[in-house]
Amino acid sequence: MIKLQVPAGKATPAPPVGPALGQHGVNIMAFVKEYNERTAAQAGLIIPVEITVYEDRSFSFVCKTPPAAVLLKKAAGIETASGEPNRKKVGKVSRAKVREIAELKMPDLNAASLEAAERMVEGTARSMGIEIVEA
Amino acid sequence: MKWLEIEVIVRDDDADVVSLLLYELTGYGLVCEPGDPDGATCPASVFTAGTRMKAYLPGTAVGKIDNVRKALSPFLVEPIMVRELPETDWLRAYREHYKTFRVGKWLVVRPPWEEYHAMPGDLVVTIDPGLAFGCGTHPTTQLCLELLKEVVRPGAVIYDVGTGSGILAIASALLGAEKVVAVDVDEVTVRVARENVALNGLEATVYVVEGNLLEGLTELAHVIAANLTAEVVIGFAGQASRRLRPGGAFIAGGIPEAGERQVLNELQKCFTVLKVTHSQGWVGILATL
Repeated sequence: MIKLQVPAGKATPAPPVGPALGQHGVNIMAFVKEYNERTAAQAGLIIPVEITVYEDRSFSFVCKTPPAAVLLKKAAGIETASGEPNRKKVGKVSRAKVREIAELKMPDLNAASLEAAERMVEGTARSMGIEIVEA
Repeated sequence: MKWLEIEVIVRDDDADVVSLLLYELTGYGLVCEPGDPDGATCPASVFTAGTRMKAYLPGTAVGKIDNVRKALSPFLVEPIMVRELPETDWLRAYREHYKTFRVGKWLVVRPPWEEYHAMPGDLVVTIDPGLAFGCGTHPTTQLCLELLKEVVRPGAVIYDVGTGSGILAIASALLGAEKVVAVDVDEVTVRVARENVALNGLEATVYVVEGNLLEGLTELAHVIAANLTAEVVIGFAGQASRRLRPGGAFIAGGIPEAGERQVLNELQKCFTVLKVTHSQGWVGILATL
């Protein structure tokens, strides 16, 4: 399984796609074309993609939901994550938004329940320097 | 163009944030892998192998490495590693994996970017390998191709179930079949198979349809090819036997040797098995009504 994160609609044969797929003999152009078609509507986001390579080097791939950090950054309207999350807070998101992100991410998270998924998203928010507020 | 590969290892809990920062600092996407390629963890430590990420910068952007190092310093469990990738034409490098090759004495499989001058008696199939199984290199594909050669006659009607790249359907048409219906359950695969059929100029003979096995197909065929899995072949044998003309042939592939006996036992309830072939741990079966 090859795991990449590629800007939606903007895959090219350059790195990371070229070296990651080329070493396995995977058809780079077939991936690039199909990935860009599938993700065109999500332009501006980075999308995790998992590529399965079969014995004859044919392949299939599944696009996942954007990383929680990307969704939190968008929700908080911040420039970037804090380099010192414990001391320097860079933004806030509401608990309702955390729940919304957890619901979206639920299929891709290794979480037993929505509450567990929320805790994971909260953890990501904390390590970005984003505060969770109740309202 | 030369590229710099920046490799970082971080705790799994930090992977999400680091992926965001790393992408913002570089801008070309990431490779994410387990910190230890074998997935092992250090037994004497509570620290797991973590997540390894690779990001890329053009060789001319070496000045940005310090920014990456500084921004990620709170998260790193090992120092950042930077290596220069040799200048590579990635498309060409991938194509080096595929050359024109021969299956048995009669069939030549050619990727579309290679020239091939056919010898007398050659049938040349053009396949753009990629998003569908069956570029012709796998033993089970080759076993099915050899069995098709034995049973496809001019004017025949063929069903290729689980067509993948379409290679068996295309070979059937080149062997003289009048009509080939290639079925696959996956919509992307169907599109890829259609592209391969078009590459071979066989749109008038090979029809690629999206569907589950032979559902909805009522015409009786002379040959049904099913390069699937042992479990699917077992479940599918009864349906296949009802879609074959008397004396028709059923070709089954995708069967590992460990499943041979079980598949044969099931097929013998509907068919007479004529031939069993083997290659590199895989089994091909030719049966008739």
